[in-house]
Amino acid sequence: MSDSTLNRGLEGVTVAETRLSRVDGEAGELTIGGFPVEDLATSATYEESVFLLLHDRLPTAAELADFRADLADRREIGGEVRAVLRRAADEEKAPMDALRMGVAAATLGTDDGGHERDARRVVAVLPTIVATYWRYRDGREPLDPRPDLSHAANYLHMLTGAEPSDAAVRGLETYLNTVIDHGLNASTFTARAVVSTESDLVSAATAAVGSLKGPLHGGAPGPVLDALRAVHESGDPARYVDETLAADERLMGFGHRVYRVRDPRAAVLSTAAERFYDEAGDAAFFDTAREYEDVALDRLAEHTPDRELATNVEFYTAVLLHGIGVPQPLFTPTFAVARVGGWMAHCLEQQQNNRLVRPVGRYVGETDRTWTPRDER
Amino acid sequence: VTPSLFDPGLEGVAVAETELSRVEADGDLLVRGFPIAELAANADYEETVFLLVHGRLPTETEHERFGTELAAQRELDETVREVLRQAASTERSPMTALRMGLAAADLDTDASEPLAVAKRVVAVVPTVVATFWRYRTGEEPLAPREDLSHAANYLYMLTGEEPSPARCDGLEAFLTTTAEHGLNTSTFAARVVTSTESDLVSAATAAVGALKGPLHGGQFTRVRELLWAAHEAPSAADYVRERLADDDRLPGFGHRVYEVRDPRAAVLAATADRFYEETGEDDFLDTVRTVESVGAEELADRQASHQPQPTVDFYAAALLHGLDVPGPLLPATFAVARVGGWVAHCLEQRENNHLVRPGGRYVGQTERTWTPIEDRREASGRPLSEHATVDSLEPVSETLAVLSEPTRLEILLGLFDGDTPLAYSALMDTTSIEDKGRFNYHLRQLRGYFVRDTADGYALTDAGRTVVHAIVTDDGLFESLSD
Repeated sequence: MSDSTLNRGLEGVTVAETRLSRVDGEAGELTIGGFPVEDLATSATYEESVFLLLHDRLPTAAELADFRADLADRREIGGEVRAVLRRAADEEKAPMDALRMGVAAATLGTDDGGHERDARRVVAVLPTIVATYWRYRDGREPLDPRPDLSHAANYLHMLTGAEPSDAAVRGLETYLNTVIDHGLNASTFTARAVVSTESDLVSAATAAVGSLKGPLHGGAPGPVLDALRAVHESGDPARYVDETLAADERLMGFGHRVYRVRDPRAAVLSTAAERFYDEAGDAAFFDTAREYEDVALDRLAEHTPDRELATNVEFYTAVLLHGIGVPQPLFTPTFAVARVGGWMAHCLEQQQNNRLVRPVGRYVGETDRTWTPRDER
Repeated sequence: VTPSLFDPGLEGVAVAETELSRVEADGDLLVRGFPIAELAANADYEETVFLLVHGRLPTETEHERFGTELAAQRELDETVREVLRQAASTERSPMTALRMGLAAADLDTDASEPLAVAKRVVAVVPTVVATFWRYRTGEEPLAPREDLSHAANYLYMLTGEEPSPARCDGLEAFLTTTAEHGLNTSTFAARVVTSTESDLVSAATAAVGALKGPLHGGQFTRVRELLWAAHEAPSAADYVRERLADDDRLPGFGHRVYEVRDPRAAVLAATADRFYEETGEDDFLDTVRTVESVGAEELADRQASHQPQPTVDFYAAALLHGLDVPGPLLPATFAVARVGGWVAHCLEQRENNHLVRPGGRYVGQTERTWTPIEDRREASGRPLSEHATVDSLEPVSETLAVLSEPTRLEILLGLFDGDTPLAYSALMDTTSIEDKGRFNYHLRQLRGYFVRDTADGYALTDAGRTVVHAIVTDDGLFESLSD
């Protein structure tokens, strides 16, 4: 045991075989369930993507209708979970804390199902938890989920109280598909480690939410929006960029840990955002975003010539989610609403070919201490 | 992509440097530098947590202050009680209830004060467990008692009675002995969560979720059932032999890490002895000793390769039974102990953080193209045939012709079973071919398109894998043609 190699981030260690997604950071390619992300994101509904991840094939029309109806049936939460969310809102807990609270209790009021039923329940209930919390936080009564609406449309409905436009639903759908899975990131790996003890999917999802909550993982689409708003108000992107760089601050929305080139998801979301703003959004705001991106990329190329900093997924996440009416504090919870499909599929995959995850630590503490009685310390 | 190490259990990877404990296969367990026996014999749980968190023993004043601080933070609010009541009335398991309660507890903490959060989490776990249990047994939960120690208060909240000193000492020994044990799965899950700079409540909740799994925290219950059934049987020895006649394994024997007797088992065995002797409840102890000796003897006869020893779970279940901890609460009581280790690991991870983000090996399909929903499951021959002419299909037919030989399919199937590439001789052993020359010939035909030759041996290509899938999956060729 003492001769094991120390690798704190587990970089380069393959912990699982997966058919769910492939992240090629060098080439800037992402394959989800066998499809290039570009194809999946724009073609599928979210329900279809989840079905694909769970079953490794696309559903037929009849299967999709069943699957969608089944998910819609699993959206409700009980009074005690609502009470937890109401208290979280009253006490101004962060949205991700509220989501963890809600998910952990999400089996209340439902039958203990098989694994896939648990997976469906967790996927179905996340939007309800986020929206219920948000309505309380906004001082409004939460709305019941509407089973006649699709997963994406229902989420927007529960947030806003209005039936969303087709353009908004399509925009959200594209977002949810784009970020549904992304290899063995920290939250997904946490979920798999939990399941490796033969624990259940709700525990895994709760753990994953806790992990996604961390700023190193959940990313920072919120601050991107702050930057865009500031630029939009001032009307002078160049000055904002120059000032930020001169102050040696990070320019939000650029660069990614894994991708050396442009994150393929950024391109997908950029196109989706453009389409949405063309049809239904505030075109001037979108122009600002584009202008800011151009200026920032130019300046970054001069500023850090040794490293290619491309627009990242958070940039267009902020632009798109803001456009379709997702409130800024809910950007990370909405990421969870998308990623939960990947988490659940990873859990089922782990169960099929399980191996307990149990690494070792390298002891660097003291040895051979002897006990000193309290009165002699 | 850089060459990577495939290690799904992470057995050979040290993911952290830790000062908290050292687990050695030779039976040695050090917690913050103390041999476990020494710690368990001397420390109470508060002292152990202080040691884990601060790296040294508290002075008398510090010890007292630490105990008072924990005692003042045991309360749960009404909203969480309602969740636990609901969990009890719908018969959720205690570990499920603990996950719900801990995740939903408004701990009223400030995430920027991780040490304060750590204390609050340690303090509140027994309250969550006991509150749930009281509801589950149809009684009103009790308010925690600040005048009692951590261990005594837990027993009090479960039973409603102030526990005897013998029971407190017994529980104290259990809690200190199992508070910390290296980078086990739950502890590691807590560290991964912390690695994203998330908070300690999230990390502890994740750890509870991991501990809930039977591969990690689940042996206790089965051991207790074994002991209880043996105790009720006319002869405990016969009961063990009968069980072993049906199944070669006995809950509570053999540990994954220790090749010899788990040092914690020795500590808890001695504690159990002392407890039952002091309280005069030695009937049950007789059963425990019988199961221990008959089990070890019988298993040794069956598995000559190694000596199966009773694990820590075995003596923990024996001891906790005597302390009146209800059987269903054994895993949750393990969490009551281990939470001290979890929070110490989280604090350590924060000190020297590194985001944990391993890799996966993609074995799924690539370059699928989208089929519109109305076209799915149809052969969709027309669009494909448009860009495939007879000429362009010729090489495809030639490649597929390579498969018109059962021996070659046998080789592909042999490769499909292994997770890792197979060496030449291992691969040959999986097939029925005995002649090396013939084997080489067939393997050569497959190489390139269906089989690749890697540094570690032979493996299937994506195409090879697809072919095997077409043969062996539920509705594959093997099933549909074999009869």
